[in-house]
Amino acid sequence: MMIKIGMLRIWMMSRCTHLLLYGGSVISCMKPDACKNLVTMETKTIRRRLHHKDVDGRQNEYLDPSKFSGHNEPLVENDNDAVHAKGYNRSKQDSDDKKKEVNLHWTLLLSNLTVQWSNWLANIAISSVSVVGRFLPISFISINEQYQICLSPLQEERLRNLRERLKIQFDGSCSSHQNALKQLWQSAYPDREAPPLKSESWKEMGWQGCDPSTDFRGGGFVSLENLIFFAKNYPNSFEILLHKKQGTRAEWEYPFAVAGVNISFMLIKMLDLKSELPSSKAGIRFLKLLRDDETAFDDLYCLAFCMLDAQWLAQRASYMEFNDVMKSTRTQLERELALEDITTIKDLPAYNMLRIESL
Amino acid sequence: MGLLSIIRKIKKKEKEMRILMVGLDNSGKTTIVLKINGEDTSVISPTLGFNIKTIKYQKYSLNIWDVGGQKTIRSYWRNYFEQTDGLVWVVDSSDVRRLDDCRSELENLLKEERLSGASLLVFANKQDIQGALKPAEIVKVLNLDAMDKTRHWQLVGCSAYTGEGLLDGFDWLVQDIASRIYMLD
Repeated sequence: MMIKIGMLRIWMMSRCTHLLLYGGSVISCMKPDACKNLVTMETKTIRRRLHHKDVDGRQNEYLDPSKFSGHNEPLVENDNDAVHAKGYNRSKQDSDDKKKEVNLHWTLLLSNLTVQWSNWLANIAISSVSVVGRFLPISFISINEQYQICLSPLQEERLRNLRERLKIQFDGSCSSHQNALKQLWQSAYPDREAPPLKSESWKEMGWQGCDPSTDFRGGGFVSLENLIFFAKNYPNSFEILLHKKQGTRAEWEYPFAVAGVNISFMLIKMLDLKSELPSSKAGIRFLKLLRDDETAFDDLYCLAFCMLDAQWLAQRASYMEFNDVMKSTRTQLERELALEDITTIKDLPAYNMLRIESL
Repeated sequence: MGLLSIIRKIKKKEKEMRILMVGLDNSGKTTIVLKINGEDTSVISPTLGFNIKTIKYQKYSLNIWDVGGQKTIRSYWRNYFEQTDGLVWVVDSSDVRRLDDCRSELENLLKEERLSGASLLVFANKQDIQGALKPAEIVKVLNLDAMDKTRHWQLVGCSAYTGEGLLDGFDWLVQDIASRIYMLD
């Protein structure tokens, strides 16, 4: 409520300034007597508006920024005022010029002062409202959520470990990373020998080129770990997705491995894992999942992959729509994470998709 | 007022520029777009399909189409050629082995009639990496001097990682497009 009133005040102030400033520029190119009239008209308009607003109580109308989109309004308003001023001017032509000039002088002074004051007040109002508006609700929410979360030492450690994992870059010259790639190949194609690090065969798995290491980009060892985890822990689902066994497939399918890299990065962003403490709702909910599940991130990854494929089929998408499918997957995942009573991955409705493992 | 807003709308529309970002995969197209826009470049995954980004640049609004560079998608680039004002070709200057591939793809692209009027900016990206070819060397390798004389082109060395050179490149591109399209301004 306070903020609403504050906004209203800012708007009123800015209106005053707008009209008066614009009035000022018109004044300079008019006859003195017309000027005076215009100035009085301006102040009248302002007063009337202020009054009108106080009495009317139509705050909401004024709070809608689209209705006073700075550019159009002053122009139009002032055109009207100028027309009014003309009529007013003609009817009062016989008045005493000197008196007018003195009046004009004072009115100008007064209007200048008003402009300055209103500027000053508007500045104060803007800063105070933005301070109150920004910090109060956010700090309120985060304090609230933090109390709700109350990370146990175990959760904290798991979060820390996960963050450490995210920092590891894929390094093609590191033997353990090379072995991890081979391991992934062997889980994907148990009957075939792993190809050398650069080979056309990698494209079969859905890497972009013959060198998978270029697809990990800035971060990235974690996306390889995610894929290996998927293959190891949910082999049936992994196989179905890798070989695109389910549903009517598109003519132009998404490449499996690179889609996997995209999912890892999507999760990192969605769960806000790069920041000090997650501020996204999904991120906060995810911390809860870490309580009972050390591999919550990897499990969520497998689930997200299945969801992506299901969305892909449902939308009958093709390669160029991949990003749309990714977006809707993210939305669905966020919605499920926001549900009440979710304490483990298994509680998520979409987990059904991974149940195929136990059949 | 109605007319005024319509005129403004048209005016606004006129200030739009359509820019197509292409190049081989892993050349840094998405990173360049994000860096220009001041976004986090630490979490970028390979582009599947395309991204569209509208960026306010000087007094223009750049409509940037960032299309994935994967080989299978390259034949699909042509769907994005229509009404392209500026073409940005991104080269990974450190990936010496694929420069031949890079040159032939660029040659194919420039044969396209719908792109004949577009200004061409070539970014010799990844200059921060040791062993990356210098901009002058990239000009030679890509044989840019032999290009059709009517084409407006410029090669700029840059690093999407540090941000160096990006604004120089876009400044040139935007100015060049503006001088062709908005000569009356």
